[in-house]
Amino acid sequence: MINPRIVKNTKNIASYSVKLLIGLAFISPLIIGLMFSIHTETELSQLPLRLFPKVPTLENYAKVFTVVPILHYLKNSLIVCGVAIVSQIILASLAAYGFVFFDFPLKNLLWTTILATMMIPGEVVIITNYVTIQNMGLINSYSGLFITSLISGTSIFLMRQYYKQLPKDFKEAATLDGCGDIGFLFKIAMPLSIPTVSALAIYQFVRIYNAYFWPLLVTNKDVWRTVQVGVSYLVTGDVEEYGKVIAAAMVAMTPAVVAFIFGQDYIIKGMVSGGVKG
Amino acid sequence: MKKLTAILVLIALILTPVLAQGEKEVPAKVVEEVKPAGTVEVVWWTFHGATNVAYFQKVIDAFNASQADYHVTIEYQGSQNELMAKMQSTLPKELPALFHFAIENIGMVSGADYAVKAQGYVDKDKTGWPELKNTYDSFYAASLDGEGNLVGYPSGVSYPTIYYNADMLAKAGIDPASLTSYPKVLEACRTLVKGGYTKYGIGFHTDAGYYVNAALAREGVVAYNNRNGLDAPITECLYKDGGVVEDAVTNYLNFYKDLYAENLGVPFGANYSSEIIPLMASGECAMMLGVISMTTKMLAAVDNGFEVGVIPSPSITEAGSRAGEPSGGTWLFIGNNGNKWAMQGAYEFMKFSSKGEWAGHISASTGYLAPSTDAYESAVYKNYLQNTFPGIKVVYESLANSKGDALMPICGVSAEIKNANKLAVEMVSKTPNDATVNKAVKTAYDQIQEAIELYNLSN
Repeated sequence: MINPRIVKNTKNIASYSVKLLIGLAFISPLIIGLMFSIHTETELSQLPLRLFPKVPTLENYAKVFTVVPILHYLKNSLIVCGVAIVSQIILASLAAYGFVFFDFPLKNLLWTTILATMMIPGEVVIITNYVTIQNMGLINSYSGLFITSLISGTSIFLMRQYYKQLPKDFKEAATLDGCGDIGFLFKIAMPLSIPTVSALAIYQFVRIYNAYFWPLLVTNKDVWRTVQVGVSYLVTGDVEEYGKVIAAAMVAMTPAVVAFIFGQDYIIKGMVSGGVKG
Repeated sequence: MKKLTAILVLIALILTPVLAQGEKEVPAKVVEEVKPAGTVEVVWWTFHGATNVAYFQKVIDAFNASQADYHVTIEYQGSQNELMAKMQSTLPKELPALFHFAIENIGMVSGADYAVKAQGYVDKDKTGWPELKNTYDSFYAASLDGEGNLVGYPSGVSYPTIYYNADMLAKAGIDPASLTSYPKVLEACRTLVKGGYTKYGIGFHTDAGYYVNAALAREGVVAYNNRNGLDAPITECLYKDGGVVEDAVTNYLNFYKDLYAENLGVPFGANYSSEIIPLMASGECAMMLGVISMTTKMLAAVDNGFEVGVIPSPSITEAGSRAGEPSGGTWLFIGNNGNKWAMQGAYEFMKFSSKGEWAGHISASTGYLAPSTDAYESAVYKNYLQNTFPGIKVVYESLANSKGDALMPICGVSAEIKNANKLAVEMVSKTPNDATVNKAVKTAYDQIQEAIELYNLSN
């Protein structure tokens, strides 16, 4: 007769081992990237590639910080993300609230139009948007960088789905207590929607932070460039210096990884409660 | 009442086009012929990254210090294709006065609103441009439009070439100078792999479409009508002419068919930088078809482990002419941003950067070819030839014997041509048999012809 405790422990060990292996498989690109970023360029150009360098070096990081103003690019990216996310949360909440709690003419048509914008790939309108931005004189400015990210159909959709789930009793009780729509939105509905808002913020952060072509189009000068453009600047003609590029990518992905680590629970909750169009 | 309204609407409709004047033409602003006082800003857009920009910056600093009329600033604008998209969609007032484009796109630049040809400035230049006369014939010819006008000037000349492990070839008894055609390259691969010298005979830079054009050019075959676009716009791809061109394309693809049928090549699609060069450095691959600007990467990877050599792009068959040199790489062009003096400054910088000392500096730093004898004979380039890459002398010998440009197609759909060519090579490399070769030629022809027709319809 096998001791049930041993069986339980064995099951636990097996279960954690499998989970650990799956976790390692998912995180392996990061580990490999981190290890390769401390190889010399010559070592990275020779076979067999080793995970552990012969002599670890931080020269790639040193070059990244001296060749390009990566911290300045990071600052620009974070400013653009910050403004766009705050704007998306406010505007999407207001719009979604209107769609859920108000009746107005052409409501369905307007909603369909918003849904339709989600079906148009961004690449299709990027050049026309670029021409518009030039005519508005917003080239080389933060406004030009974030103006197309101030609101999106996805955000409105996400918030609407959440508000639709709110029990109508909440609204009725608030109205009976003399709370108007703005009060209900900001004092009751929005605080209750924190998981959805967080999911929305993280989703938009990853999207806007990783944007490459738009920031490249609307900025010409280094001082306005975002981190993704900065990383691409390290690739030169036909010569790819992997060490530098990987080191820059490690630096660039840090904020996104941190945001994801701290917000992963909210992302899952938000997706489950509202549904996110990828 | 309804009748009256209908009549009024009808009259309005008839009169509108008659009375409409459209936008009043604003008389062109007369620009002073004398440059206004002060320094004019000349913005230069490039697709080169930080390392090369640092080399260009040295030339810019020297230019800015040499005079007070113009001040050049270089700005990175993404990859070649991204820069191209940006140039095409940027309003004239936002355009740079100077920009980098790949020379394969000269047909596009030549007819574009966003660029002006350098020839107009050359004609008005009273001080002259001696380096222009000393530019290698092939590169000079590649810089011209069909009417002989200078469109741009080389800034980083690349060149299709086969890199080889000189020690390995010597051990296998192969004379690199004898590899003048693809059948001979195939034979060398057989010797190297079947003789146990290495695992792979050759690997390929995946920009295969460019090398198809180069191979056809080295063969001496004009694969498009109107002399590859020099005499008039290209209207027809000749890949299915049932004659010389079709034979040349088929023979070229047969090289890949035989190579991959016998497992002699690095699987097509391998990245040259992260896979093929490391394979060469470790002795598992003997040769690589690439461009000369890969030299610094190659030498760094090999790290003096063996001697690296290069041979010019072979012809498709041994009977090929190999008379001209196919150009590649980066050229400088003048942007049409409406700012006359900024554009003049762009031309002045173009001239300045072609001086032997500066063109030599760029070539020696980046691995690109010296565009002129001035650059080749500069002290900095001589040092490169002696101490960094002596093997490159073979290319200059070929250039010296060249009869000029090898005539790559000049048209606005060079990117589509390259993609179609690449697809053909991919198809054959994946399924190496005769049926695929025939299908690949037809597929490439169909795609190129469609692109040409679409382009001509919209231009």
